[in-house]
Amino acid sequence: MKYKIVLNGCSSTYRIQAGETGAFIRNNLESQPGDGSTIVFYNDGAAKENLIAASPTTRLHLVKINSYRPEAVLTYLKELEYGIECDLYLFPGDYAGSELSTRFAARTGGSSIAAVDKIEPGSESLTCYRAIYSNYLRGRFRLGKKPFCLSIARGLSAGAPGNQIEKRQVTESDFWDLPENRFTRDCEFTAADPVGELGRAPFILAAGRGVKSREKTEMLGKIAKELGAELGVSRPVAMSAWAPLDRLLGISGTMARPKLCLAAAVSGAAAFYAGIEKSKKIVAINIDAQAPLVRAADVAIIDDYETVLKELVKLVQSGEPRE
Amino acid sequence: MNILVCFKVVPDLDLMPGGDWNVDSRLRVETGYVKNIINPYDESALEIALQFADKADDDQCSPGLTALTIGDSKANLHLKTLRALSFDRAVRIDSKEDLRFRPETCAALISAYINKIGKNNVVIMGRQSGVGDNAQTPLICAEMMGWPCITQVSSIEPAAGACLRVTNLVDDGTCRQTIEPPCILAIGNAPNSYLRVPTLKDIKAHGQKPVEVIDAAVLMATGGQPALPGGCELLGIEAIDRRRSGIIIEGETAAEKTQALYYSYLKGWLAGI
Amino acid sequence: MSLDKETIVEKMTALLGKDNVVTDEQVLKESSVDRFRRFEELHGVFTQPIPAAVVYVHSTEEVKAVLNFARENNINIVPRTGHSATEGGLETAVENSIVVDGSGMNKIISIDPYNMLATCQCGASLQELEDKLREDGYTTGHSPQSKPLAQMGGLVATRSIGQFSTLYGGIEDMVVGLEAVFPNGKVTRIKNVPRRAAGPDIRHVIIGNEGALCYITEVTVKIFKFTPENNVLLGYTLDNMKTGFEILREIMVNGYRPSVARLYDPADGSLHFSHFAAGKCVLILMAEGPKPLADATGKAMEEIVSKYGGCKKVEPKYIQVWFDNLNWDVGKVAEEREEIMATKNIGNTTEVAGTWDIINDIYEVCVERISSEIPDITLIGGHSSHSYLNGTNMYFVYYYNVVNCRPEEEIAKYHLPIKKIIVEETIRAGGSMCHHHGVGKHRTHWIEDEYGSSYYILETLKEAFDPQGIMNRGTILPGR
Repeated sequence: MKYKIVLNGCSSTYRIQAGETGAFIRNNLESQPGDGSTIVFYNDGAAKENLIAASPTTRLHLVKINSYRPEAVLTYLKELEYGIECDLYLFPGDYAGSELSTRFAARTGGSSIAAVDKIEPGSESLTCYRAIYSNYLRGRFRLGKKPFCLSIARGLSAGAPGNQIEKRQVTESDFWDLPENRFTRDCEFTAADPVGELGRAPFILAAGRGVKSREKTEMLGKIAKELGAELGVSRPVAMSAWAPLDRLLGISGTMARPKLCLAAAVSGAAAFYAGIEKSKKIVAINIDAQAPLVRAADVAIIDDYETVLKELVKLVQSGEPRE
Repeated sequence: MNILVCFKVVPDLDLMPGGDWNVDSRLRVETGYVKNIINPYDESALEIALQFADKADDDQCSPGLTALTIGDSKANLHLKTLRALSFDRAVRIDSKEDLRFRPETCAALISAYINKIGKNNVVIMGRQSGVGDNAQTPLICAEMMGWPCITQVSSIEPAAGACLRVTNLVDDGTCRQTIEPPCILAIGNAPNSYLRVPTLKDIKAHGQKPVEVIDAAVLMATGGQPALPGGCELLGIEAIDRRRSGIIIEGETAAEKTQALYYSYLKGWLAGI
Repeated sequence: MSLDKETIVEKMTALLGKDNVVTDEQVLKESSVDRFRRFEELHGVFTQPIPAAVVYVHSTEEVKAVLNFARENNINIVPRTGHSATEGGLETAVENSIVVDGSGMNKIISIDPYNMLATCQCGASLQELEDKLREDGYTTGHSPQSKPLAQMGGLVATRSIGQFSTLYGGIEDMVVGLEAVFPNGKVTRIKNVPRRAAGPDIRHVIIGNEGALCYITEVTVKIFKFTPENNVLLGYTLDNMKTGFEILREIMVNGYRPSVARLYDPADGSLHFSHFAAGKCVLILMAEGPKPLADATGKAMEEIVSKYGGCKKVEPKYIQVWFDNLNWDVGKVAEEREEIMATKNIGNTTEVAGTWDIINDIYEVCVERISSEIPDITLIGGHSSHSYLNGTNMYFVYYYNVVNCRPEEEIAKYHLPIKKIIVEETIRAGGSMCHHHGVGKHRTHWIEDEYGSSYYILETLKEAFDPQGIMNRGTILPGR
């Protein structure tokens, strides 16, 4: 199967995109080295040698653009790929990737699906798996029309750089001086840490709506610090602005993969659980033994989370200092 | 400005009894037993549109607001509520088709409505909706209309020259941009955007006006742009098993349990970090 | 004059230890109110006098010591366990009150399946007790919506009632014996016997005292066999409440004892049943107990309902799924808080009771008056959820948008005028203004009307047991 990976080299998330798309290919396609290549859109801000070094495929095509606007990228991509035969376009699981995969399929007459976690290639079709029903169920789909345009599920893999590739074959295009879109009058951009403390944290204290209030959420932030953990919250907590959005865990927030996650007063809706299910160990602290998270945890304490966490702080702080 | 807000009525899946997911031979899942809600992203879209109208009102250029949904009559209640909340039009495209995994059909119906009836120039809708979770309708709609689409929008404010000031998340930060319509805005996480509640008086005054019902087939037959080929077919549905060992720690008091947790498990796990 | 705050804290600390005397400002503020003032609380506005301390007691002896100290120094005491009260009963109406929190007295002391008794301390959680009993095939039969939050002392003190009351009764039918401490320091125990005729039933001095007469420290309740596999659940939609009340009456007067007998009007029903009964009233019945009895009761109720035109049977699973999501856990409380903050839309309730001949009139006149007289109402409706041989209750549910007023004005602008309509119309018709939330501090203006000439008995109880008026001032009776 001939495939192309499309990456956003303008973003500080480039290495993550490269890592997760590379891992997806390795896990899903028995491909020959010559089957795939990568298209990287980049601009002045990016160091070319880093883009090349992290590329998930041996062959890559660098496309210089002004800035990464989906409308512009779609136009360039279509122009680049005009008349070229390719079975599969793979996009990362981030916002831009899921957006481009759908729109590119619409422009090329292909078929698309977002947030795929697994594929099985057939002769003329592609079987894809993804979460449906707010993450309670998983659907199996068949894509029938080439090119297949997929974005992968968020947080599927750690996004670590893949196998070492000795020698790259690089080609280049330049769309740098093409005009910007016409509908945007002005745009201020505020950069944010794309992975976030939560994405990197080895230890997370996750708080659900059962924490009751903004004050309690702030208190949990302090407890997290004392435990050496990062605070994450469920959607109801973030939507009521008890904690900033960058603390949101789940399919609409960070898909974390800590070694340990303490989930306090979290009921365990599937859309939230997706954000912590890659945790090596999960501890539930919940007053309700029937909460779904209790069954989805390695161990659970059925009690008031505040009392438990305060006790835990004492124990952790009196224990041997961690390295 | 003529704003169309699209929303979908979905079952509140978090109320589904654990493990009770019955899939029939036609790959339908029985969810009729739980309450219906407006898809949360769409609820934000509706409230953001109302807030936008409030602000635009202060600037004396109040936009037209239409709420639109596709589906059967179970959405009528919500449409009536939206009428009472001062949406000028409440429209239901009546369709009995299984549209769970047909974002291209939804987009075609929305586009047909805009082109033939609504003549709207701003479309706001949630980025994704539970059940199908396709996360594609606004994007395909943008492609069909040939309009730009901003995703992950969290707020929309009026700006000079009939423009919109849009805040949206991108992968490595936040954009605040001024957009000239036409455009499609897909709402992502937007804190504090619970839909307001109409008073009985509002309901009396506006809520009784009829919901406009348009037959999907008729809408498409009379000049709708055909749906883009979707080519994505559902083959099967499986439950996701998330169970872990779920060992419940016993003890008399919270302190006792916490100590047991710490010495039997956490201490070791923490050492590995 | 009573002591200053510092002295109170110092004395309490000496008595109970530092860890059990909380003076954190936020805790004190939150302890000056209950759910009645949650709109103010959500906005961080606290209008009630702030207590001097919240103290955690762990034994009857400690309760006694605290009450003795309060009496000697004329300090107001607010007894509290689960903090889920809704009628202002936990508001600290007096400066420098002491909130005496019994949630630490949370032991289940004994479960005696031979005599069908369960004894626990006042702070035992009903949910925990119920879960524990169910593991062994028993139940308390008590299942209020606050079950995940409420504790035994508070439930008894407020004359709580649960969703299965039509079979098992209210908490007053469940309490066998109890222990309470009176403000003079006297610890009283009422023993556990199946019945007695040795004078008036003095349990009722304690049950429902709302902390205004004594501090409940221990409770023994009945337990029942738990056989959910026998439950027969029935649901119907119907066109009007009047028919629903008639059906409930016919079931009750013919001697059937459903555990659940609930009738929702379309407005209240829209919060729960819009997915299958939009615009309709909903009637829910459940029979439980030994299989032959449950089956017979279920069948008989079905026959009764079938005689009434316009009742359409609903698949029981709709009702079951709804029922499983009915109780108020902390998560729901939190979600409600966010929604209130975002939409400024808040819901409250008032529950009354009346005989069969007046209940529908009370329902109709209250709904009519509230929707026409109160501004910014977004929903007014209600349900009957507890039926008796002689009548039933009406649980009014009302939501309003808080518009053009400060958080601290919400109660005066909306909630009290609504309560006033419901209470006055109920008393005028001859019903009771309080069915199961207790009087609290906001229905005290009508307490004399509620009691009529028997108010003498109530007043005398207060004078006799709490002559100094240190027990939860302003609760049940107006503050002096």
